[in-house]
This record gives sequence, C-alpha cells and structure tokens, in this order.
Amino acid sequence: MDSENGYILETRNLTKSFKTPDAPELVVLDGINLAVPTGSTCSIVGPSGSGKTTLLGLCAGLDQPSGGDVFLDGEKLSDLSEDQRASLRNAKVGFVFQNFQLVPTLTSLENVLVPLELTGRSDRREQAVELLQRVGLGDRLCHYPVQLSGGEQQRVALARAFVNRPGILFADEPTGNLDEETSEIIVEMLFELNAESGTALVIVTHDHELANLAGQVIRMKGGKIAERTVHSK
Amino acid sequence: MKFFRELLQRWTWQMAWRDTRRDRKRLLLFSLSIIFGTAALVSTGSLRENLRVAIEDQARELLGADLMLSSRRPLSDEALAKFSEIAGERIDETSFMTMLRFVDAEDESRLVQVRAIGKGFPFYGDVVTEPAEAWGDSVAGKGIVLEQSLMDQFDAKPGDFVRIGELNTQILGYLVKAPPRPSAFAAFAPSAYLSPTLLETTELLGSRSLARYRSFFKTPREIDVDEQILTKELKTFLVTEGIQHTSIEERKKRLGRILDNVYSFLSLIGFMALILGGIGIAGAIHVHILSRIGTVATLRCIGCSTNQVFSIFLVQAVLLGVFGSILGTGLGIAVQKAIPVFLSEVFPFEFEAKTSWLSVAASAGISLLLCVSFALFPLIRVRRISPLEALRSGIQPDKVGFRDVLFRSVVAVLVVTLVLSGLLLSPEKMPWLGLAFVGGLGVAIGILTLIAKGISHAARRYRSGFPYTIRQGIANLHRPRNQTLAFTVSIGLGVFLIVTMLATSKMLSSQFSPETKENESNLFLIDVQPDQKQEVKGLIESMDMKVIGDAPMISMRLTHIKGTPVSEIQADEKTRVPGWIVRRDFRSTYRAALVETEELVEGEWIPRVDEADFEKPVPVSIEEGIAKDLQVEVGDELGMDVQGLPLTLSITSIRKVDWDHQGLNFFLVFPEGLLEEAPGFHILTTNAGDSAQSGALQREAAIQFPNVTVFDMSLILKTVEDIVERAGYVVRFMSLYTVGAGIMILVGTILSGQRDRTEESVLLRTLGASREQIRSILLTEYIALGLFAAITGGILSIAATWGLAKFAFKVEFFTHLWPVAGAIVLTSLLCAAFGMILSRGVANHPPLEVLRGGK
Repeated sequence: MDSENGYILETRNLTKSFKTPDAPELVVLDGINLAVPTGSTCSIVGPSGSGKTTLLGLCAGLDQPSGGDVFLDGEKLSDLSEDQRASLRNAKVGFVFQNFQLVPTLTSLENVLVPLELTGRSDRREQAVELLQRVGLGDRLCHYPVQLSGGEQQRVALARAFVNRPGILFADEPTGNLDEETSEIIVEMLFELNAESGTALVIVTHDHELANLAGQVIRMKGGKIAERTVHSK
Repeated sequence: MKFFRELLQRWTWQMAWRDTRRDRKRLLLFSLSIIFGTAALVSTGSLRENLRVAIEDQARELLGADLMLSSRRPLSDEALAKFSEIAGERIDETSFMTMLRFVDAEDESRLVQVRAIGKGFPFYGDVVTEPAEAWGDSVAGKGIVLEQSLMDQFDAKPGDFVRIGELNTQILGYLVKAPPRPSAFAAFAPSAYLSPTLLETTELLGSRSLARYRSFFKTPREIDVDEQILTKELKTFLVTEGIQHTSIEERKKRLGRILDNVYSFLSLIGFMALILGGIGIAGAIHVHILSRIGTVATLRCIGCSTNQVFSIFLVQAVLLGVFGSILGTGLGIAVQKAIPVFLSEVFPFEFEAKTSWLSVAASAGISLLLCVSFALFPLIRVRRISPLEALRSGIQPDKVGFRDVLFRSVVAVLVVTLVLSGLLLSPEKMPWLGLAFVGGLGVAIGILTLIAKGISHAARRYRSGFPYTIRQGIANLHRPRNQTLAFTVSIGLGVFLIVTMLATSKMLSSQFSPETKENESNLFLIDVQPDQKQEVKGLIESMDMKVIGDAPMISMRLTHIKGTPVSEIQADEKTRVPGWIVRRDFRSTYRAALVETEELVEGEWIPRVDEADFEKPVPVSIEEGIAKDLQVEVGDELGMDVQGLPLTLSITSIRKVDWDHQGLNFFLVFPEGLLEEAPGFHILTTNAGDSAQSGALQREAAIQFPNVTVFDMSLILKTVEDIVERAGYVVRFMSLYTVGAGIMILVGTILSGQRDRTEESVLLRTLGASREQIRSILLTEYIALGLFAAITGGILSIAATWGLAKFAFKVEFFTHLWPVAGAIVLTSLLCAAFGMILSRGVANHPPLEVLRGGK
C-alpha cells in the first residue's frame, strides 16, 4: 500500500489527452509522476493551459485519466466506479474552489453540514458550528451565500472542506477571487487548519507567494512537470 | 435497490426541499402546465359522464320508456303478466292508420296514424301542447290532439270538430313537443292522439283492422333492460308470441355517430392536455436543472453519489407532480361544480352534483404518473453533470443519446406510461385511439427532431448579406447551446397538439352547424307521381326551400336468397337471417351514380343497362349491412317480387351508406334503364326552417297535389340536434385547457435558454453592442425558432386531423388552412413576445458583470 509509504497522493505516468475532430490528439498532461506525503503541503503553479487544473481534477478523482494511475490514500482510482470515487472523496477529500461553490439554497451551517449529512453523521452539528466559529463566522450560521462577502463565502468553503477531517484538501486558486487582505486571512486559515488536522494540502495557484509557502512546489509547463522544488521546513 | 434506499433517505427529501428555497414561486408557476392537464382530465371525465347520463335520458325520452313491446295482436295475458312482474310500471297503446275528416273544412280528409295511449305516457320527457291543458284533456277523453302542421294544412283551430270512424270529437290543441314515436319511419303520416275510451267510440277496432298494440314499461334505474330483462329465454318467448321489443340501447343508436365522436373527442382532449402538461413539466424541470449545474457539481465533489443527486431532483419532480395533480384535481372539480352555476345556458343538461371520487383519483394518478415519466428526461442530465464543472464552468454534460441505457430505460418508462394512459383514456368504442395517438405522437417527435437538426444544419451553411444582428440571430440556431432542438420539439409539439385539437373540434362542430342542418332533409314528400315531379319541385322552390333529395321509389318484396325461398329460410330455426328483413317491403331506387352518402366498397358500379331484359339476372348494388344480414356477396343472387313481376337480381356491388344523414338512402339501388316503367312514385325531400314553413308547404301540396303526402321529421330531428349541439359546446369549452398548457410550455422553453442568452448578451454589451442590437439578435432568433416550430407543428397537425377525420371520427375532412396559418403567425408572435418579455433584463445587464464572472 502506498499510504504505508507515507503518501496520501501519488500519480504514476499520468496522462490526459483529448480527441479533436480536425487536429491531432491534444495532450494536456503527459507522464506526470507526483507524490504528496501525508500531512504535507504541495503547490502546483504554471502558466494558463499548462494542465494545473486538469491535474487537480484527476488527482481528486473528478475525471478519468487517459493513461497512468492515481493512488489516493492507497486506493487506485481507476479501479473504482464513479460512485465509489464519490464515496472516497466524501471520506478522504476536501475541496476549496476559486468561485467558492457554495450551494446557494443552503445556509452557511447547512453548507458545512452537507459532507457530514452525506455519511449520515448529521449529529455532528456542534462540530460544524465550531468550525464556522473557528473561521470567524459564528454569527453568520443562518446566512445564505448571497448574504455573505467573497471572503466570508470562502471561509464557509474552508469550514466545509475540513468538517469531515479529510486526509487531503485540494484548493483551486483559493485566493483567486479575493482581495489581498482577505487572501492573507484565507491562506493563514488554510495552513493553520492543515497543521492542526494533519490534512495534506494541494494548492493550484498563480500566486507565487502562496505557492512558496508549500513544502513542495511543482511547476508545470506544456502538460509536463518542468520543475520540482522541495522546501525544507 | 440501492437507488430506492437512497431515494427514501430522509436527507434526500430534506435536500430536495431545501433546494427549492430560492425557486418555489417559479416552480409553482411551472406546475401550472400539469395543473391544466390534470384539470382537463378530471373535468373531461366528469363531462363525459354527465353527457352519457344526458344521452341515456335523451334516449329514454326518444322511447318514452325503458322497454317497448309491440305486436299486431293484443299482447297475451301471459306476456303482459311475465313482463309486468319484472319490468315494473306499464302503459298500453293502440294505434292504426285511418282517415281523419275535418268537419269544419268541408269534410276534407287526411290519412293519419291514430294513437290511443293510456294515462301517464311518456314515462320520460314530457308532452307540450298549445294550449297547455290540451294533452291532459285528451288523455281524460275530452277530445283529440293533432300535429301543428296537420292543423295548418287544413286551417284547423282548437275547438274545430273532426271525425274518425264513428267518433265525432273536437280538436283540443296541437303538439309543441310530441310524445315519442314508436318508430320514426313507421308511417308516413301525421299522428292524432286520443284516449283509449274515445278509441272505442270510433268502432274501427275489429278483426279486420291493422292495428298495432304496444306496451311501454318503466323499469327501476338499476336494472339493465338488455342484460337483465331481455334474457335469451324471454326473447325466444317473444318470438313465439310474435312480439317485437325495443330498448333504449336501440334508441341511442339513433343519436348517431356524432355523439360517439363527442365521447371520443372528450377522451382525447383530456389525454392531449395531459401530454401538453407533461411536456410543460419536462421543460420546467429542464430549466430547473440548468440552474442547478453548479450545485450538482459541488455536491458530487464533496461525495454525493449520482443516485443521491438524481434522487434529490426526482423527489422535487414527484412533489411538483403531486402538487400539480392535487391543484389540477381541485381546479377540475371546481370547474365541474361551476358549470351548472355559471354556464347552465351553455350546458343545458343536468349535471350530477356528486363527484366520482374513483374517477378523480384515477385521473390524478394518471397525471402524476405521466408528470414523473416526462420529468425523467431532463433528470437524466443530472446524472451526466461532471464534478469537474465545479472547477471549470462550461463543461458540457455527456450527450444523452439512444445508445445510453438510462436514456433507453426512460424512453421505455415513458412509452409504457403513455400506452397505459392511452388505453385507460381511450373511448370504449375506439380502444385503439389512445395507442394510435401515442404512435402518432412518436412519429411527430421524430419528424420534429429531424426538422430541428435540418434547421441547425441549414443555419450553419447560411450566408447572406443581411445586417449583423440578423446573421447573429440566425447563427444562434446552430451554435453550441442552441435552443433549436428544444424549441422545435416542444413548441412544435404544442402547436401540433393544439391545432389538431382545434381543427378536429371545428370539424366535429361543423356537424352541428346550421349550414349543415340546412342541407339535412326534414320534410319528405312521398307519392309524387313521375309527371308531377317538376311541378312539386317548383312548388318547393317557390316557397324559398331547396330540393335536397329526389329519388324514384319502387316497392318490392324478397322472395329468394341465393335460390332458397324466404319461406324456407323463415321456417328454418337455425337460420341467422333476421326475420324482419325477409318480411319487409324493400323500397328501392334506380340511378346512374353514387350519392354523397355512399361509398363503393366492393364490386363494380353499373350506372345503366341499355336494354331491359328481365329474363336474365338484373344487376343491383346492395348496402353493406344488409348484405351481411342476408349473408350474400358480390355475384350472389336474390329473388324479388316487384309488384307482381318476379325478378332475379345479381349482386354486382356492395355500398357503404352513411345512415347518419337524413337523406334518401336505400338498401338496393338498380341501374338506370330497367325500372323506369315499373309502378312507383318519387320521393322528394327538403328542409323547412320552421313549422310555419312546413305547414305552408303541406297546405299548398294538399291543395295542388292531393295524392302527395308530406311527412314532417323535424320534431324527431330536433331532439337529436339539441343534444348534439350541446355536445358541441362541451367540445369547444374543453379546448381552452390545452391552450393554457401550451402557453406554459412556451414560457418554460424560453426560460430554459435564458441563462445562456444573458451570458452572451452581457459579453456582446462588453464588446460594445447597443441594447437595440441585442434586442434585434434575440428577436430574430425567437421569431425564427417560433416560425419553424409552428410551421412544422402546423403541417403535422393537418396530417393528424386528416387521420382522425378518416379513421377515428369518420367525418368529412377539410383543411383548415386559415387556422393553421393563424396558429403559425400567432405562435411566432407569441414566441417573440414572450421571448422579449422574459429576456427583458438581458440587455440591461452591465458589462461589468462579465468581468466579475457572474450575473
């Protein structure tokens, strides 16, 4: 088991390509090998079109690769059905999106509770409330997303991402839609929660400052890993 | 199993309810289409039931009783005892033909049918006389009541004296609404009514008189006369006694195919409205799902299975269906209750106050089932939404096609539901109608899909020098996320159903229209001698009436069937040839061509023969029904006695005759050149607008042509026309439901594309497009979509109307080009108007929104 090797995420020779009607096959990812140790942080940077988000989607089991394998907490994703992958995501994965992606018809608290409710653990309401208080939204429990600012929405998203104590959290441009001051708060929370819960962080970002906070920085170019930097703590 | 477990989870229902928070009003608005559909189904069911009861009552009024026994001899005590015991109340009648002399009109006389009926007749319906007390007085033996036209003919007034045999009595009044006649064509003579005691005084009843004795029975409502009283055993007894029987079932047939059609149409209309409701719901769910793509993707990201998200939206569709069905049922019941209060003039037949809850529950159940089945189509899309959409918006869900198992299963569910509903809602007499309709619907959807693809293809290749806004509007018909398929199929189907229904209703209504009635004969002039024909025609035309029918008529009797004498056939107990056919007088005609009410179904029509050779078999055309009764085919021979001359007839053709028309229809038609010299007379028919016109013609005919008998059928025809006319109102009223459901489809379809249109418009605004230009692009697109959908739907509706006219309703098909053209123009305008109204904010979105990445 790879997890026994200490990796929460590992990709082997991962490729993703698309067939196009009039042109040769478009290769978006080409032979990516990546290993993210449990509890560590990793950032993926690179220019637009370099394959960052595609890599994130494949690592999180949101899409199927054209070749190669993804191991998430030791589970080979290509062996799982879509529903089994969904179940794995619920148990092991958290997400933070650039556009927050809160369910607009649910309150802050309900949004945070959804991952728990999906596994029938709706009794952990206190845990959700605590997390919202932890991100400074204890007084906004019953507010709907439209009633919150961008930063507040991202904080709800953070609380939702951590509520089921995931092994790994994928963040796609988590500060991309936020101002500098709010971004700092979010980043701080992200790393604080990572440290507290031992959740590994995989962040896709254009922000070099944010990228350099991670223990491992992967620089993508043309669908390949152009550079890999490991910061010693 | 797993799916059902997830469907029943509390969380699924909780999420389904929470998810409606922002859109409850809109969802309720969408449920209107299924509300209309359900209401239509509930109220058509009820209207059908009321119409059925009304027709039963009318049929009882046509007979005046539930059962009539009739014989040439007074009914035996044994027969009366048998029937009185099981059939309830009884009233007897004696009638015969005799001369009635008008004492005050210089003893002028007229052949009449005297009817002496006991007190209390008819059991159903009433008799109206002028003055009102005349009928009661006549039953009490104070005098005689005549038909108005007969009195007009002789300028007779109440109080004048008439003589029948030894009876000298006074005229008490004339009939405004006559008691039911035992047989419409029993005697071509007007009736005179008196009491049985006065009948004795005439001293005309005796062993030599050709009287007919009848007994009318009123049975308790719960007894089915045909099933429970006229058992095989009793029928055999009646045959041995020489007694004929008539029940209301036979009278109902006289109301004709028109009412069968109304029944069938009411069934169809409810089904159509429900299908429109289903399409509306499918559109509504589609719009709803489009607005939930982000939510679904997020839920999938955080671990929600496809079954779970599917269940959430399925629960919403079920709730919407339950809500729509309940409200629709309520509306249907309310309409049903409101009709007698507000529309009693329109529907002048009695409505049952009580609601048939079983039928209501069945209607609600069918509509819920159809609603959910239709909703499954857009719901498939939920299962295809990728969680990647949360990372990167704009990812198109996998295409749902026929190769997909789920899609095929949903199609199967919908087809099974439609077929079941079609079978359940088909009229009794046309159980195939619902199935044929579902088949037709499938073909229509197929054609509309092909047309939509063709439009997209043509738009892609379209190049023109039109201004940019028009080119852009047309280009929207083929670009990604175009609405061409959704619009063409849903709006095209809506137009197809509504125009088919309106055109069919118009076609059926034309059967009840006054223009048609003008061409229906209600006065029959009988015994017109060949040399009088032109003069009688001139008389009719001089009185502003037109000659509708004109036929020579020769009486003959059947002697042989396929070489076997009829006496042998009658004696043979095993024979299946009905006795009345071999006993009857065949009144036949000759002519060179088929008439409007006939259709040649087999053999060769022989217009004329050049030389009359009675030694050889004479060619003849026979009516389809009687050919079946006589068990003869083309090539078989019949023996006839034509006023003493034995003839052998060779059947050369079989005709189908439309007996619904009160025209001159015959069982046997000979070619010209054979029977011109045979002793016979002509029969002419016309239509009198009212009894005064009828009376005037009868009077003049009596003066100028004393031998000619004028028979007025209008009293009988009026009864039939009344009920048919009422049914026409019901048909037109019910059509309104489908229009309501159609509008909801339009709204749903436009809303389904609203999000994409807004995004595009905001982008164009950012690039510098003016509001005018954006409106112009939208207008071009909506007009084009509406126009193509409506033209296709309109053309399909012509084909469907033709099919319904020919195969289901058997009425004359006429193309309603104007209504179709009107529907096309109206639909295009409505599409444009609703499109612009529902997109009115699109042009006003500030370009900044696109930079923010939201709306």
